[in-house]
Amino acid sequence: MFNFFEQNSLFVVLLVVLIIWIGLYYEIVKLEKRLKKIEKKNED
Amino acid sequence: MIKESFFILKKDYKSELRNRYSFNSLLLFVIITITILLFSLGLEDISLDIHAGLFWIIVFFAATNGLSRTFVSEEERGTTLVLKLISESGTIFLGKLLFNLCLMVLLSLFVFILYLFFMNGFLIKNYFLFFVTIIFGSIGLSSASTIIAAIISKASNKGTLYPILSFPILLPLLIILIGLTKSSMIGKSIINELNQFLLIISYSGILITVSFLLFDFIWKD
Amino acid sequence: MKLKYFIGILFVLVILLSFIPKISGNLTDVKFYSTIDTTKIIPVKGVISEISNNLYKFIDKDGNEGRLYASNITNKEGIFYLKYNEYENYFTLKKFENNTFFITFPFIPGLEEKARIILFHVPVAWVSVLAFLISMFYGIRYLKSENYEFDVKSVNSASLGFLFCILATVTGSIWARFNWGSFWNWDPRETSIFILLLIYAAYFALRSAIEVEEKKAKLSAVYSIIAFVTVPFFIFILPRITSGLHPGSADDLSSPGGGPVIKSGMSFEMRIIFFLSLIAFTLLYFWIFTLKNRVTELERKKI
Repeated sequence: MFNFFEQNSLFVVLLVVLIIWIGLYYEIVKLEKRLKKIEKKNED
Repeated sequence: MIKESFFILKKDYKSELRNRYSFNSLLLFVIITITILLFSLGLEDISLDIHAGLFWIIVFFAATNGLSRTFVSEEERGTTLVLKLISESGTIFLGKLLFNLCLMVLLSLFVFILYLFFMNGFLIKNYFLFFVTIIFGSIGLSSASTIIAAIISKASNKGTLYPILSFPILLPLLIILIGLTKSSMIGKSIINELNQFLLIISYSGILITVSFLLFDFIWKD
Repeated sequence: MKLKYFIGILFVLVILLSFIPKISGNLTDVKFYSTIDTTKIIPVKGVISEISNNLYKFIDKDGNEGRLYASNITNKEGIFYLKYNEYENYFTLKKFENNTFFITFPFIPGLEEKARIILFHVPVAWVSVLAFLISMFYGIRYLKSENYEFDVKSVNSASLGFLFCILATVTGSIWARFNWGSFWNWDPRETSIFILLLIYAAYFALRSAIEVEEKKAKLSAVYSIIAFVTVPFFIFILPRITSGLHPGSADDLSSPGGGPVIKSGMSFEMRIIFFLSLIAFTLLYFWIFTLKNRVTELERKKI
C-alpha cells in the first residue's frame, strides 16, 4: 500500500484532506447529537 | 515588598528545618533514582547526550516532589488563611519563588554530586558553564513550578496533576538546559552559548511576570 | 449571503485550486538538478517553436530560453517533462502533458506533488494556535469579569484548538512518512506540536480535577494564560534555532530565518491560494466555535 502512495504522490494530498475533513465532520456531528438531546429534553 | 518576601522565605526555611520531611524525601528520591539507573545500566558506557538528559530528568522528577510542597503543605496544614491575612499576594508569591529557587539550586547540586560519584563517563570539561547552567536552570524551573504549584494546591488530585501540568510548560527550558549541559561536558566556552542563556532569561522573565500578575486570582478565592 | 454557504464555497474553491494547478519548475531547475541527480525528470511549463528537424527553441514560464531535442511533438504549449543533456546543451523530452490552467505550483525538490499539502497542513496548525490564543483571551476576560459565559467560550475554543492540533499532528506525521521516511522523527517542530497537545491535554485534566465550578473556571483561565505564554517559544523560536528536518530550521540553508511561507519557497499564486486556505479554515473555526457556544449555553440553561 505504501508503494502505491509513494508513486502517486497526489493521493497523499488526498489522504491529508480526507483526514482533515473527517475530523471536522466528526466534531460537527457530535454537536448535532448534543443539540438533539437538548431539543428532546425541551419537548418533555 | 522584597523585604517581606525574604521574611516568607525565612519562615519556609525554618519550617523545613523543623520538620525535615520534604528535604529528606527529596534526598531519598534522588538516591533511589540514581540507584535504579545504576542497576539498569550495569557497567555499560552511555554517551554524553544520554548523561545530560538523565541528569535533568532526575532533577525534574525530584523537583516534582519538592516544589509542589510549597503550596500544598500550606493547604494541608491549614495555614493558608493566616498567610492571606498577614501579607499581600505579591509578597507571598515572591517568597515562595525564592524558596523554590534555593531548593532547586540545592537539589541540582546534590544530584550533580551523587551523579559524579556514581555514574562513570560523566565528565565535565567546562565547570563554569555547568554551574551557570544550573543556576539559570533553577531560575527557569522554579519560575514555572511555583505558579503551577499554586494552581494545583486548589485542585483535588494534587500528586499526579503536578507533573502533567508542569512538564509540557517546562519542556523548552529542559531542551535548552540539556543542550547546555552537553556543551559543558564537551568543553565549549560560555561565549558560544550566550544566546541560549538569553532564551532562558527571557523564558523565565516572561513566566515570572505573568505568574506574578496572575497569582492574585489564584490566591484570593 | 449566510456565512456557512460562503465558507462552503470557499472550501470548494480552495480544494479545487489546490488540486488543479500542475507542478512546473523552470529551465534553471532542470539544469541544476541534472547535476545532482541524473535520473530526475522535471516538469516545465513552456512554449516551443521549431528551429530545425527535431530541435526546438524552448521558452519556459519564467522566460528562460533553451534548446529542446524531441522527436514527436504534438503540441506547442504545455508541460514538458525534461532532462538536461550537458554535453550537447539541450534538453530532452521524456513526457508531455497538456496544461489548460494558468496557475502552476513551483517545483520544490523532494516534494513535487506533495507540495500541495502545505495548503492544508499549515493552515490547520495556524488555526489551532489561533484557537488557543482566543482561549487565553476569554480566560483573561473571565478573570476580569467573573462571567461564566467567558469561561464557556474559553473551554470551547481550547477543545476546538485541541482538535485542530490533533489534525495537524496526524497530517504532519503522514506527510513525514512519505517525505522523510518515518511517521515520527522528533524533529523540533514535530516535538513542539506534540508538546502543545500535552499542554492542552493537561488543561482538560486540570478542569476535570476540580469540582467547584467557580474554582474550575478561575484556575483553568490562569492555566490557559500561562500555557499560551509558552507557545511562542515552541512555535516560533525553538524550531528555528535547533537543527531539524522541517524547512526553516537551523539546517535549512535555502530558506534561512524563516520558512517557505515567510521567505520565497512558494510562488506568488501559490501564496494567494495559501492565504485563501488560511481564511477558509479560520472562518470554519469561527463557525464551529459559535455553534459550540450556542449548544453549551442551551445545555447550561436546561440544567
